[in-house]
Amino acid sequence: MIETKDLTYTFPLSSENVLSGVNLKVEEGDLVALMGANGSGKTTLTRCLNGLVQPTGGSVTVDGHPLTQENIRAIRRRVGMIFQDPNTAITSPTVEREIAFGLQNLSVPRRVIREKTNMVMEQFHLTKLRHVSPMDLSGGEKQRLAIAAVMVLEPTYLILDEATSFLPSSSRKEVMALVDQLRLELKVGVLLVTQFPEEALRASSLLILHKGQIVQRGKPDEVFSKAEALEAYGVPVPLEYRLGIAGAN
Amino acid sequence: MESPFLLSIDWESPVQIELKNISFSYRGKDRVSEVFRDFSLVFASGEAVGIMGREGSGKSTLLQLLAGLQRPQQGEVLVAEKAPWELDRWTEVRKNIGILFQFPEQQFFQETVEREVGFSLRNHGVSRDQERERCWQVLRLLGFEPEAIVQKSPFTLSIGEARKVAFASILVMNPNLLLLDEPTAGLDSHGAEAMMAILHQLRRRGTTIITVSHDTNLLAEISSRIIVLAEGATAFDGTANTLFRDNNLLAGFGYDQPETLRCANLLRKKGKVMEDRLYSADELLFLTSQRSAGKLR
Repeated sequence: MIETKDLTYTFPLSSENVLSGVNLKVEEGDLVALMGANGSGKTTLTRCLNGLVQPTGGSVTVDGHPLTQENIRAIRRRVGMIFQDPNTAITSPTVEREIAFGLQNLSVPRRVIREKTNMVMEQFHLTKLRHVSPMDLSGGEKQRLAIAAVMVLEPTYLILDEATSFLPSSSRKEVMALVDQLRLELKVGVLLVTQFPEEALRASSLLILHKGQIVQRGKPDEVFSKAEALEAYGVPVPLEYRLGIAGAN
Repeated sequence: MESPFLLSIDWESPVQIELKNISFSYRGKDRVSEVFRDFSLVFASGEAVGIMGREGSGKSTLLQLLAGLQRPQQGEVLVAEKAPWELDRWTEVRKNIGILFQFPEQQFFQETVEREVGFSLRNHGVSRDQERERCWQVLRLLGFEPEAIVQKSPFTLSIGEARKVAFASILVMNPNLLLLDEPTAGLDSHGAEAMMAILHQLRRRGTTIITVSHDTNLLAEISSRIIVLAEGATAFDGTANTLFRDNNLLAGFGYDQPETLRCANLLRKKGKVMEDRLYSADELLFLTSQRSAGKLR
């Protein structure tokens, strides 16, 4: 379980809290959605969860291990991150080498790298594209590759930070189906940061972040029912809930 | 907000933008990937056109061709009957075409928001006072409190704020042609609504707006004409009303119905009398508020 207790973050030389007193839990196999306006602290929060940002107060633990300098490498392997723009994550000339990159960095024996890379390419339907340059892939394929390159490291948790923002609805569904599969088959715990309410509706719980604080939490259906409050926070709400006709079909 | 520039082209009269039998391929060292072959398209002045299509269908390339950032290997791109890259027109074209790229925040390079937004104005010799006035005006238009943001570094902004600042840096030039690549992606509802409101306003002023987007809700609200690209050809060219109301056609292109349409159908099922057309979200909210007040039950 990823757990934060009273997580607080303040930028250096600033008096304003970017995050204040955030408590959240993501269990294995669980899907938790996080929504909030631009600038509400979502990205900073996700970065605290795998040690990219050191919280200035409170605690983050991953499977009971506190996030400390000594633990950070182990925690980063456990908590995989997928960002909005896959182009910034991709560095290798071919799909195959992109997937192998993380393992090479960890000095895993070549034979094991080959085996694992092959397995992951198979699992993510990338085998046919193995020699293709990642830059020639479509946005949906790139995001699939970015997830594959993280999943080869066998993380227990996956954080998607608005990973589908630039994808057409068909590719967005593809990414979401993949996330469901990882969650159900491999028991990966997922924190989904999103601006798409239809994605949040699939989660077991939805958290709303506003000015660094969690202001709403619960089942997505219950949270979206407070449409007016959410709109005031700048959170997109499905039109059905805004019209008060959700569940009518 | 009159354009502060003297132009040899009369941009106030209709400016037609045309792609004439163009062919375009990206050419690498050992391979060529073709995007368009013998492709033609005409945009009328003041039109609000939405461009849709699967990834790799040529949407972003189309914008780059229109802006003169890419040149076709064959055929012509004509802005007011001339090619945008003809050297004597380049500056003028640059002043009049605003382009918002997909990750505009990656193009920031100034120390403060004010300097970033005012960059093009400074470049074109506008006085410091005018620059400041224009920057603040546009930032306000986009829903910012200028006092709070002008001295910030653009690199500390959140993605939504950054998008709006990038948009502001284009709007200060008062462009006649706006080319937008996914303008609402990653924006929260306030940001998306502000963006939509501005686009409506610009449209009323006669700005030609060409928007590449996957957001059917956005395109349903702001476009009169929709073009769907598939493999470098036009797979659909017609009104938003025709496309968005044809579920099979939309699904064939890989898109969902806009939520306004889905909700209008739900309301119809619940016995509400609805016209057979595309409603905006605001219209539906208005209709249901009447219903909940008991008038139409």
